[in-house]
Amino acid sequence: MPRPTILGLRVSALVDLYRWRLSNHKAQELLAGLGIAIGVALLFGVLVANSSLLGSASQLVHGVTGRAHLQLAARSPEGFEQRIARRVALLKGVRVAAPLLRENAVIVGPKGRESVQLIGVTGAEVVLEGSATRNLGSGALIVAGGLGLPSEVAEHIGAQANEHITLLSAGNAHRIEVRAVLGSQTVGPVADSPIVVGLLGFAQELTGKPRRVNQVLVEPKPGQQRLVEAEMKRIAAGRLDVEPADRELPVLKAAETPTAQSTTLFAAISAMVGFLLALNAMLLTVPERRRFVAEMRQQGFGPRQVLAILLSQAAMLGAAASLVGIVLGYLLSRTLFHQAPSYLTSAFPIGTQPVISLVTVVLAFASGVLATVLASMLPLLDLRGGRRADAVLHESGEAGQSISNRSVVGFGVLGVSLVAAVTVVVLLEPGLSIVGGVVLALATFCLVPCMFVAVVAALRPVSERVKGSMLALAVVELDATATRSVALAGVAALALYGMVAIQGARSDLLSGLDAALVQYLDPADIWVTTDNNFLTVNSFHAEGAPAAIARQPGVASVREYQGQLLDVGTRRLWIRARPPGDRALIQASQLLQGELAQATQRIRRGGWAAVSSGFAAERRLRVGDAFALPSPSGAMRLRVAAITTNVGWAPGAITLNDNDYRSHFQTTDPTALEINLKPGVTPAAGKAQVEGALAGRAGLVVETFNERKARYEESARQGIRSLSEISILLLIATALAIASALSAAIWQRRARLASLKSHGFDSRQLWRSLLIESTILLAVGCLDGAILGIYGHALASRWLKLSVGFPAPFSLGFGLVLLTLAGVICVALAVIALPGLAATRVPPRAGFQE
Amino acid sequence: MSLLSLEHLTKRFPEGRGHTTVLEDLSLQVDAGDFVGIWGMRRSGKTTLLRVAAGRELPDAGSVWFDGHEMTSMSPDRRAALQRRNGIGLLSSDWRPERNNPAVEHVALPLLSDGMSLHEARHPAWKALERVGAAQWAHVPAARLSQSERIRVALAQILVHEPRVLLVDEPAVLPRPSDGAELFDLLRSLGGSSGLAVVIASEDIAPIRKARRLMSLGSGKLRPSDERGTLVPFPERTAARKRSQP
Amino acid sequence: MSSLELRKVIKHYPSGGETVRAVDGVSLSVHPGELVALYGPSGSGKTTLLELAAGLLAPDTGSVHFGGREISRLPPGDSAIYRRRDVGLVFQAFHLISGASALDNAAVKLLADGMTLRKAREQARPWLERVGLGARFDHTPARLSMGERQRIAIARALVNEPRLLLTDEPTGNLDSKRSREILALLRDICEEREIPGLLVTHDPQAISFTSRVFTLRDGRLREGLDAELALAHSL
Repeated sequence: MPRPTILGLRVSALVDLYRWRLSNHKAQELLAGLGIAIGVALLFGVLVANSSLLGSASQLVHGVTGRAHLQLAARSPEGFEQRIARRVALLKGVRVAAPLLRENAVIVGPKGRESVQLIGVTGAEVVLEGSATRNLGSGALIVAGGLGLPSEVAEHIGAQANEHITLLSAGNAHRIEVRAVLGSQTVGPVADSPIVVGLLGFAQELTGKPRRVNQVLVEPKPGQQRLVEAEMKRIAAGRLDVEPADRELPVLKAAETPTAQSTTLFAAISAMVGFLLALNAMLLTVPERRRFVAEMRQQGFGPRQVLAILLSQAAMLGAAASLVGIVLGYLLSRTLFHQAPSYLTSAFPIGTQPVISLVTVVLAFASGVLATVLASMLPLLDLRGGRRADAVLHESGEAGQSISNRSVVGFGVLGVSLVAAVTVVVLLEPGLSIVGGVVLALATFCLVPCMFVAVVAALRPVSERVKGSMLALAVVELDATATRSVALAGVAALALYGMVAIQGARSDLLSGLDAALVQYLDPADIWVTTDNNFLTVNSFHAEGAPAAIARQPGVASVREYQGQLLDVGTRRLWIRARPPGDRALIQASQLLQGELAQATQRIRRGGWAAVSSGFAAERRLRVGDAFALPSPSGAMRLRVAAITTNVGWAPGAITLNDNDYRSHFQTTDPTALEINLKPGVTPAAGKAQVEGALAGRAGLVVETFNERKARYEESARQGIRSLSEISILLLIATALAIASALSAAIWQRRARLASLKSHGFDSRQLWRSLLIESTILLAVGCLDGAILGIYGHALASRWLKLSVGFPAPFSLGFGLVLLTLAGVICVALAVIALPGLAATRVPPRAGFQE
Repeated sequence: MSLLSLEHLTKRFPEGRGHTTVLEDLSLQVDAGDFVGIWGMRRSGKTTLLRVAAGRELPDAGSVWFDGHEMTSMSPDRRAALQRRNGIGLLSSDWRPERNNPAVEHVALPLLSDGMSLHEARHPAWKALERVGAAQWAHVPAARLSQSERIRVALAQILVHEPRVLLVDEPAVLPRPSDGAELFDLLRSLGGSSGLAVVIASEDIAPIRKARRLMSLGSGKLRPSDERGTLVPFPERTAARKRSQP
Repeated sequence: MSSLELRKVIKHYPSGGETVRAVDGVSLSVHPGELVALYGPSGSGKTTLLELAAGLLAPDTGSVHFGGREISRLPPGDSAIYRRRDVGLVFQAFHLISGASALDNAAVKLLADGMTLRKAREQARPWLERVGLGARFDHTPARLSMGERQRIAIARALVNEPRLLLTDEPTGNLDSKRSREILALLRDICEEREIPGLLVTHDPQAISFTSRVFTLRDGRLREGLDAELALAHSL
């Protein structure tokens, strides 16, 4: 049997050769593998975090819609009559028409509570064969008389089949039996989704919406889709939406685009840092690999065989390290990045499980292997024609070339031109800022050698005059800067760049959101809402509540606030109907166009609304222009009173008078009660009185202004938490990787240290010199990264403001920048100190051989 | 035609802004079973001469012929293939083995280039170690071998290719003179039995005095010893000689 | 005036399973003003002997004295000060800083004694001129020939105005004309400053510049050249 060979080398021989290498160079391979693994982990974690939101939502949407292609959807929380579903079912071309009621709710079990979407289904859904419903049995009998909980949700709240849980919906609490826990064998990937399933009638009862539904999923007969769509439009009569069944996905995609774009920027930076880490790790092994090449050549291996050996070894290392990296990245995505932002979960049913696609795995794996192979190419230069086969064995002097002046200037010019190009492009087209951010990262790297030369030149005159310090020795050594040092400084620069830019933009965004929030909540002293109602869009039956509250002695006034999410195109707009009695209708800090007093007066009068800049730009609206919104009563005509930011909700918001809303959206159920207290009544006392008045309404939550503000702030921070987590992680990984690479570099310099010692330097002097040298090296990288990071931060904030409409006033957080800078340098130095000390303990010898 | 033939070799190295000529129009014929000793001072070009002869390095002028083929015009892969079987082996003193691997693996390793697996290569490796009297160290990690033991393992690593010419660079690095003598005897016995041609270059004359042909290398040229077996001194050294003879 | 004195020095190294007697009972005195040549084949222990004299190694038995002080038992700190103040060392592997100028390379060791770099350069300048590199202060080693690099190493050995000169193959990389110049320089330094100098070499020319000649073979020292070396050099 012929055995597989590559260029005359047995495949098993390639493996044997790698085992050979491993048995002698464990430390180097481990270090290199670690660098690669960290890079791959960062990349993979970010990619998974990035794709999970959509992946999880898509699983659920398709799990429910099954074979349905079309849907009839309500435009208000009030929904529509269930008999409309029956009319649709009777249409000629329709195979199945399945009515659905979907309402946000909260379930409470022995171990905790969770926000879920309550989905009321009929036997018709089962016929659609969506993975969420197809195994519920004929007529969905499994859940009859109670609820079905996906296993993940059940586990989270500690619920078990045939036990009771509490469901909070429409302001009321219900004790309900769990009829079934739906594992993945029953409902597929939906087992991870935040939903509960019940029969439609039961769901209608729980939500207090008898005979009403808010969605009809339609599966047309083959070839009848057009016809059915036209018929459905006739039934909708301009009061309901006829849409593709999975319309929620593009809507969600649009809502999470800013998040996705910023994570993409991060993924790009992580990938770059990862590649540099791998490159650095491999660079450390270059001298020793070159020797290996030479010795292989001496022993009769041909140049192409050596090439095959080197590439196979890099591929093996890369593959192993990438696998480890993917596992690490998976852990990261499960532990750190697993929480979807709560502002999105309150508007979309999004699961918490990382969704890992094959593409992501392959991409991360391939990047890792490719980076390793690329980084291991350097020793191949020795195989060029005309080079002596074993030249490296006969080279004298130090390993590591210094960088020529020409390359320093070349890199510098490239870096400056990149910065200039980014500036011009982004000024003209703010939408390209994310790409600009990636290019800026490249520029950061290009500018490192220049900064390096400049800093060393600036230090030289100082170092020449200082007595007794080892600064002079450090500067003299730095003059001999090897490629490796610049690459290390480059890693520091990139990490700092990412950290400063992202953290800066994040803190701008937070301060913008906080300002928006205070003014949003400011009109009331006490808020009454349903639980876990982040955007204040879940309605409840007010019944006698407002009157009961108004009777309390401390209460000055009670107003009903209404809100909902309205899908217009791919925008899920946040509709905020404010009672005209509110002392402020527009958040002054969010005003971009229009005059505050006049706009407020117009909205209060009726027929006017404040709209977000993104929505306004899409429809080319200016103050005074008229526009229409789809409503259950047909098109609602409004005029633009003011243009605002997106007030923290990426798809945009529309603020109008509650009277206008009520008449067009045909609902009287409030989503919040705003209560003002009489002068002298403390919020706590007021809250107690309101709670007293609401006794028995377990589904309602009473919060003072400050409490609600705190809850919002937490949610806002949680929403962009993954950004800061990634950046901190990036920083820690970078500091450790730099430290280990620097340590290894120092270790390789023992021969020179020994020779300096033979000339009378002592260990402490050399140690000081090494630390000074490392500090300068890191400081240069960090400084470069911080400066460009601040620029990137300014661009990012501008992008948030102009392209996404987020409130993000630019403010330079010098404290944060300095802290980050000091953090990286301190961690790295602390790690370097020990191996540095060990290396300087090398005995002073003259003919020191490695 | 000789087995190995160096013809009019010239080799220069760049140095600073100029270059130095290490070999200048140098020729040497080596036949099967030959035993040549080359004495030269440090930096006289011994190592360069052997490296050029082994095909590790190309001369700036002149040619190297082995068994009727011109090595200097071969592709690197061909030259490597020639080295793999019945070619030219170069034993240099700068061989630094990997610390943790046993001697037998070091000797087996080069055979992987010939398409063997490590498992298959162990047998010929063992035989080669026996030939140089190093079989008893076959399983000792290289780090625990003494310098003279390492040299023998390095020799086995070359013999495993069954070369027809063996070039030996600087056996004088051995820590004890007696080791040098033993190694010399070993090399002579290797040459005698199989027609292997041996060329030894050294800066110390002791180990190579008994070579069949003794030559000295200086100023880029080779000179044969005279009939009495003494080396002809080079002109630039004469001043030193006169002074030191009282 | 101080002499260098080695008294019955023995230094062994483990090598694989056995012990190598690098220096085996050597006694040697080098007096102020004289340059002594030490010949011997490679691996004969010459460099070890030099390292013992520089305090880089401690002997197994015996002692090394300089200026009446036993330097073979100095604590590491004092040993460093001895090398920094009293010794000028030229080694075969000269370990120059590849990106630094010739001047900085020569001056750098003065930093160990707390001198400013500026002062150190001033002090190194005349020495570089003296070894013939006056025109190449700013050149980095990469742009210099091996011989020129060797001369930087020699200048570096002399900048601290040593009271003892220890050199290992200082002419190993030089042509014979440059060799003679360097040998003459080393001899003159020893004579002018009345300091002892020890020269480990292969170079037969060195004999004409030294006061006495020794041969080290198998760790043992003999005055004069031994027969093998004499034959090799056709002396």
